[in-house]
Amino acid sequence: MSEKLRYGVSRYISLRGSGPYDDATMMEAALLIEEIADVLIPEEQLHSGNLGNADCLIRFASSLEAVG
Amino acid sequence: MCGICGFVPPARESVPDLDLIKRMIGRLRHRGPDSCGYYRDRRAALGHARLSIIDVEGGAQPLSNEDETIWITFNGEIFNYLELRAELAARGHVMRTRSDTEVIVHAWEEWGSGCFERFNGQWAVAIWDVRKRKLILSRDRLGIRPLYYYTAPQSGFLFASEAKALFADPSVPRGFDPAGLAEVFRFWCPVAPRTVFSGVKEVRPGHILEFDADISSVSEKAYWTIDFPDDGEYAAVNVERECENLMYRLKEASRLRFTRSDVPVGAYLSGGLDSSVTSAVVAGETEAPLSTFSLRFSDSEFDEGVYQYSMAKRLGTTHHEVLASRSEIGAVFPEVVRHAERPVLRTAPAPLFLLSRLVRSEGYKVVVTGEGSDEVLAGYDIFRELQVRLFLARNPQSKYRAQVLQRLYPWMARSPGKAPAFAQAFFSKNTDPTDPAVSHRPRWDSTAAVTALLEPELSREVSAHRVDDELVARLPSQHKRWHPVARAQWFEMSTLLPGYILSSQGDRMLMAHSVEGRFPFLDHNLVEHAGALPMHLKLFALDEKHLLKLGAARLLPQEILKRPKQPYRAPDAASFFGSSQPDWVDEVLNERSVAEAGIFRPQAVSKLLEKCRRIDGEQMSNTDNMRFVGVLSTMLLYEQFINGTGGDDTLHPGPVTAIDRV
Repeated sequence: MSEKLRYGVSRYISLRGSGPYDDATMMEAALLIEEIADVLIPEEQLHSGNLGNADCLIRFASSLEAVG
Repeated sequence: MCGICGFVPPARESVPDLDLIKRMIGRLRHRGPDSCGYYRDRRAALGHARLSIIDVEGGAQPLSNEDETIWITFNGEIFNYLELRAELAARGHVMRTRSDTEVIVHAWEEWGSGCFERFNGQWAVAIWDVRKRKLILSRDRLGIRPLYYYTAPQSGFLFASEAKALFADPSVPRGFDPAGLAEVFRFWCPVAPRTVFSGVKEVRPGHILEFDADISSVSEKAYWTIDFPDDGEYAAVNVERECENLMYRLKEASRLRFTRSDVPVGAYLSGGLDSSVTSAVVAGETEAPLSTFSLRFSDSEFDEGVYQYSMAKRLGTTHHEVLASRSEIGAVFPEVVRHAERPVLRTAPAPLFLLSRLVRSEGYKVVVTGEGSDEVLAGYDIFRELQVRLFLARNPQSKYRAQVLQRLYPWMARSPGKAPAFAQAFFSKNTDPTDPAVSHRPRWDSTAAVTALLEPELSREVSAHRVDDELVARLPSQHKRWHPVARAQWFEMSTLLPGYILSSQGDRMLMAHSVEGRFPFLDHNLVEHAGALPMHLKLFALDEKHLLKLGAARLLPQEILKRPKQPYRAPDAASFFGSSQPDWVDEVLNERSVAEAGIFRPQAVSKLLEKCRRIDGEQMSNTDNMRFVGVLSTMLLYEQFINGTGGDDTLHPGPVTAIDRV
């Protein structure tokens, strides 16, 4: 995971907690990741398995290079 | 804080009319009830209505330099006047008073128009250079203090803190400017130099205007503009250090605004983040208990009393509150409009009128408030909305993205989370990322709903003015490199902040009861510092005022820090119907009155009125509320300023400083 993405995701987790995240929080996380990484997250990736809590979010952000 | 006025008559007239300057001062007496003064020579007259705050004994105006070649009439405060005074004294300037006004005179002598860049403050000032026969007007950077002018061959050049003082001259025409109305019914307010009155202009914030009396010409230049850095990479920053920097500037700005006064200073406390922070900071500057002032609402939907109590208790303040009921809002509304001097689309200024009345009745002349934080530190919902709309626009077909709409406007009865399909359709419109005004189109389009009630001819005139395009054209060329939210901040700081927040809800409601507002978040050092911060420190994901919240953590209880943002609102149409209906509503809005005014379609207004009556103004849509309050305030403005004279000509009752060189 890039440094800026690691930085943004860790701050997001400190802001919103470790989860589980509701739908709105997941989409807010997606919004943040798209802004930082300048990517479009494919529709099929926008689900709780990827964004539903802090661990998922970190894993997803780590794999983002492949998504991007 | 005061009222200022003056004029340079047309060249053909030999002597300024003394009675006119007295009438103008009289119309501003609410801004300065403590005393008044005028200066007149063979070419110009200056007037002043004084609210004594600094150098209560010695600061009477108009005031001059040593050889009486420069005269000044000044409204506002230069908070760094002690530092400037020392600098000017070191350069040989000798001052007779302890006032900040005299510092301006000498700063003008020393640095010319460059002096304004050195001021930290809020001001509207007129300087008359006797030898050069030039009148210089200047206004603070963000438009805290108002300043209007009118010029025409038969009238010469007139200026005043409020338009009603210009109308003391019968040669100044009284009529609505369709372009000014177009801006109100689009942006919520006119944008300086435009006003809603034909021919009456407002000095733009951060500008200097010069009237050359020899050739009757007006020129203006900017000495400050709103700016933002290029939108850079999403950079890792030292958040702790940035917090400290921001809080240092906020504390310094608050200290200056709290301590630079010779009369006691109180604080507004809304129960939200911003006024809680400023109250907490200034409470630390005084050994005596701080006096705090809060608005309560009898409608629980708008009331924030529980948070106000919590903060007042924590700070140990002497707390005062006023209850704004629907009937009181309705009862004072005509006065509110008379002071605002423009149509308003919500009743929200009215409770602030009641609050300043409370402040004055408790013996205070000055209050510190939290205004400006939302613009400067990206606190408004419109910034969050922009981020959401751009997120939706990146994949309009998405089934999941719209779930983020639940984060928007949770306080609204019809919040996006409660009507997701409608919300998705609404927020997905107008999302062209190349449109510089993408952030504001939905609001502007919603506001324009009021124009559907206009008379056809006026409607054509109003819609002929492409005010959106004019405003977008004013964006500085570098805006393309700004973050989209920074562009949205520019629109807020260029329109709603000076034209509504600081005016209809600010200066006008405060000065209606001779109370001066001071705004630490609008200290230009803080504004420039905040402008240069990476956007993600201001709006992090959808967390507004992110850095301020982090910085305020040591000052505020968790319940204030964590509470969802609640915008300041008041009951709108409901304040004028049911048991609270004032008698005058029917008089102002009956078909005959509306037809005579020629602004709105009488039948359309009657239909709206009937709808309001049927449901007592309850549960009305945002659009209908806005339409009703917009029509009502426009009609009140018409009755008071176009049909009426705009004010009475009673002379100022206070002690008079008269300097007559004729």
